[in-house]
Amino acid sequence: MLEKLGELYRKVISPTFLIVLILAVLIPAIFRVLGLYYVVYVITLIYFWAYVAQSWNILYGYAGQLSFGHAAFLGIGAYASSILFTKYGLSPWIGMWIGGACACLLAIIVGYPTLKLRGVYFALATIAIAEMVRLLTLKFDFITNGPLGIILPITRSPLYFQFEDVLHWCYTALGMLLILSYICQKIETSSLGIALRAIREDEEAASSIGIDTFKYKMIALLLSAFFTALGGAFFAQLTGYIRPDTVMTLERSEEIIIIGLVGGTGTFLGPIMGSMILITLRQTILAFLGGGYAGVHLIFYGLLIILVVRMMPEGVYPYIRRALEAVLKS
Amino acid sequence: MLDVLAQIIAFGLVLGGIYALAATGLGLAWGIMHVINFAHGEWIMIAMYTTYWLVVLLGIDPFWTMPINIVLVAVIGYFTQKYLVEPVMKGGALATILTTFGLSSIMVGLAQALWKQNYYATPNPYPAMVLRLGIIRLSAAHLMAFIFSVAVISLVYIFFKKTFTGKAILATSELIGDPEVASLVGINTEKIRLLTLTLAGASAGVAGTLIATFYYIYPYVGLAWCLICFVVVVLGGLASFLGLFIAGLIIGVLEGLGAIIFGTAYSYLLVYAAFLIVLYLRPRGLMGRR
Repeated sequence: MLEKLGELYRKVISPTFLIVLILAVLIPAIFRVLGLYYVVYVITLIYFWAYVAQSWNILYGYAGQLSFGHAAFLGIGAYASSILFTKYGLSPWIGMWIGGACACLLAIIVGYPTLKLRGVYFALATIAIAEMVRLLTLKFDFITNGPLGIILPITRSPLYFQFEDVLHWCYTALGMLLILSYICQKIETSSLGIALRAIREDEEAASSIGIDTFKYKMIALLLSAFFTALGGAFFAQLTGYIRPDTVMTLERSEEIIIIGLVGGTGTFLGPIMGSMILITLRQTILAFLGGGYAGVHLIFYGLLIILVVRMMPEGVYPYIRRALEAVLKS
Repeated sequence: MLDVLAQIIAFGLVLGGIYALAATGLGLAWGIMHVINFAHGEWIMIAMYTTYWLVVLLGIDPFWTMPINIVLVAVIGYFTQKYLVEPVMKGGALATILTTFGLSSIMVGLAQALWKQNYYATPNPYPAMVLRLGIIRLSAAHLMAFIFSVAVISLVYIFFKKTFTGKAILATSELIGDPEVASLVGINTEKIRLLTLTLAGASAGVAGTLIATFYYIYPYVGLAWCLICFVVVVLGGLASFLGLFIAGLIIGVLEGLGAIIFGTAYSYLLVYAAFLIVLYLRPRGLMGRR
């Protein structure tokens, strides 16, 4: 019976995916019942950062364009929805889409001059534009409240993208992650995904067989920026307080990069695994060291990047998949 | 109004000379071995902290710390190339970028752990010494840094044009020479790469010493300088010292104007905007072909 079911699932959806999905729903519920709210919160963060890294991965993993400035897209999403919420009372459910549109505008500003060029200019421009966005956010304090940031009103109403129960936050993050993962999986198998992978492997060759490399890179950037900005709105609602220092720094972009790299780029399961590893480690370090050891996390991040690039450029995903397949076969 | 403008331009030019020196090491690594060193700003940062602590602890003149910084950062450059960059060279530009980015993160983290998020200023008499040249006023710190910068850039230029080793390095560059031909005529390209990043480190050591005399020192100071260096190198084009120098001057003046328009804390806004415009209009730099 079980074997037959397994056979059925293998045909419909990948069994790995199904197991992961069941665990993803069950585990936070169990911790919630046990009353370990902090663990549920950490799991929420895992889903959320997996979602953001997934968005980043559309650009790096599929199109081969390295962005050091995704915190800017995240920050724009967070700020747009929060400003509209606090100043105009607009529900973040609507504001998040406007944030996404703003992020797309920024993506065009950074992508238009740099994606026409081959090579690494895009990576350099993202770091510059992220700094620019951060400085502008600090500068225009009559809209953004400058370095003080924005404190969101507490309504506890789902109408305003706020939930009382931590489990609801968790499932919202999971829902966003699932939707994006589904889109990513569709991209992987679509003509867009094929074109992007061709560009990633050899841009010159891709363009010589008639692929409009600029167009496809731009599409990847727009998708990536848009989804990251939606995530920004979620993050603002979850934490209830945003500052340029928390959503727009290079450190944030670095975390997104590490999650993508550690998990493995180019597949939609990679960022999810990366997030599980990095966020668990980060929260554990935070819980044990507290805030007293400034900079330790940066040293740790730097070492992680160097080691992953050197030892396992494909991330942990291939290893975990092989292990899972071995388990499933036996 | 005119004298304010003259002051901004004069100050911008002086600052720009220092930018050109700061960017020299980055431009060398980029132009010769296609390694974009994201840790370049942090190398400058380390030199700045070294100067600060030597001046504070020993009470010496900041300029005496220059030889120590040259050796220190050159050694860092040597080990970076040997143990971090060279092993991932085969992975392409993104692998080396990520590796040096990781190194920069480690160095920022170390600076934060050791010296906290404080702003330091090196105690030295030069910033307070103001020299008047007609309607223009410049501090001795800036002026001396500018003179040193021009001298060092000239030295580097002579090294590459006149000496055998310098020519050998240029021969391995993909832009100016040809790495395959270079290795055919017996140039050890791996050794050349090692030498290039060592030189880049040495120049960052000089730059850091000079900057420490007039600029605040804090863990993230490297990011601001690294971005400035990127802008200068891209604007100047990769294969030209003259281009680098002119680009430095332009960026210096732009930053001065930015400080007037946006305020000193946001003076880089104009520079970053210029970066995007340059990438759009002249991605090969001012001196490069379109």
